[in-house]
Amino acid sequence: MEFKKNLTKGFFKDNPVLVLGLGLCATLAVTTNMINALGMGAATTFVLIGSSVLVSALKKVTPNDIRIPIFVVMIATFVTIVDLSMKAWMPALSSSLGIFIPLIVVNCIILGRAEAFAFKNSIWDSAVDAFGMGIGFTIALSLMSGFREILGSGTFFGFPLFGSAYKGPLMMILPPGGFLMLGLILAFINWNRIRKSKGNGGSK
Amino acid sequence: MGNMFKLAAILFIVGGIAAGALAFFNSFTKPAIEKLKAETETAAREYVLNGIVPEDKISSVIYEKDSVEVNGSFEYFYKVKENEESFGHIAYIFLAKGSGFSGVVETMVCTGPEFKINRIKVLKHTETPGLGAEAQTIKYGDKEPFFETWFKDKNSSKVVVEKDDSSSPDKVQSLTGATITTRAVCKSINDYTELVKKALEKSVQEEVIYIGDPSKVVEVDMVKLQAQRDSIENAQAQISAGGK
Repeated sequence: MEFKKNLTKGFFKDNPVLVLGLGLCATLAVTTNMINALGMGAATTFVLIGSSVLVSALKKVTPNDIRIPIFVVMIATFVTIVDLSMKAWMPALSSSLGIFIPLIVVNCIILGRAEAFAFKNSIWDSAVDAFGMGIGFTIALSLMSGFREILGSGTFFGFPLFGSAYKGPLMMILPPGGFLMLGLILAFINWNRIRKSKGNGGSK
Repeated sequence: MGNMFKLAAILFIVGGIAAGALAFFNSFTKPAIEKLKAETETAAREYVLNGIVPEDKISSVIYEKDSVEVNGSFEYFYKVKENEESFGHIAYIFLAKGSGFSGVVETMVCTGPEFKINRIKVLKHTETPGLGAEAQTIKYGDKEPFFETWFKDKNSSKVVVEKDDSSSPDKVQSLTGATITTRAVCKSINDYTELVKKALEKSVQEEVIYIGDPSKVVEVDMVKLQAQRDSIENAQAQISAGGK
């Protein structure tokens, strides 16, 4: 029961982007097409799992006073590994994600999970939690970039949907479109939550 | 106090282990990254050369490396010979760099010996998706990016954005909403063409100087120089005498 809760809470209930509001900078920046979203999601999930497991494994020997710098060093190590392997084996993805791969270091989702969950829980629970959060992040990114790519460039995974003559509202794949899309998705989720809680007879 | 040293020591150890792990990992990725870089460069060079040299002969061309000085540092360009025996260069290839809307735009350019552009390839940029980034976009059904085809047969030292000089025969359209990017590419090509021309002139001069036995060249020069100086002095003396 605990396992399932740890795994799935990141998907929707505690989705890092859509509910907790973490990691918005990367979310807004890379969600211009689906390939970027999946690449970024996979990279972040890897870093999340790696750093959560390590933080949890070393929580007994990590002095409380300097836990944050130690977390940051661990996270940075994993991020650099991802960055180097992308450059070596996935150059196209690496060049389109650019600076946002190194910036995973300062993504609040990772430090947040290390601090809030991994430092207090067992290795296995931390790994499951990290995996769930990573998937949740990827879901949020895919949702954003799916809408943005289809509307803005008329393609899905780079494949044209409406013929090559389609000229969509370019704004959707520019920064303003990112804010707009995020706002719309957050509004929908909140509306849905309020509607549900009213339906249950609750007034909170 | 003792506690502080202990914390510093722990951080030091953590940092050391992290650095070690990265160094270990780097030893795997470094060769792959370098190989990829070299392959990308070779592919780009062959891509831009295609047209001047038929595709099946591209593998036998000789690239002569030469360098231009840009802001105090040296950058390479290539003089292309058709094969080992041939004389003279059939093309020049250089990597033009200029600042676009949000960062450096790097364009590989191949020109003929008269600096007529054969083909260009935008290699690296950080321009806005949908606007400046269209410079690399290949339209569905096309084989090469439409932006790059606009540059074909233009004079590389004169190529200019249509908006800036609509009467020029070497004008190119600007990308919709990304005149700055287009201008950056044109200007970088112009600038680097001038640098390459300068470097070529210099290498021609050097060749002239070092023909034959250098010691004899100096001797002859000194005699000639003295004769020239004498004749100039004579002429000046005559003029001043005539003036009086």
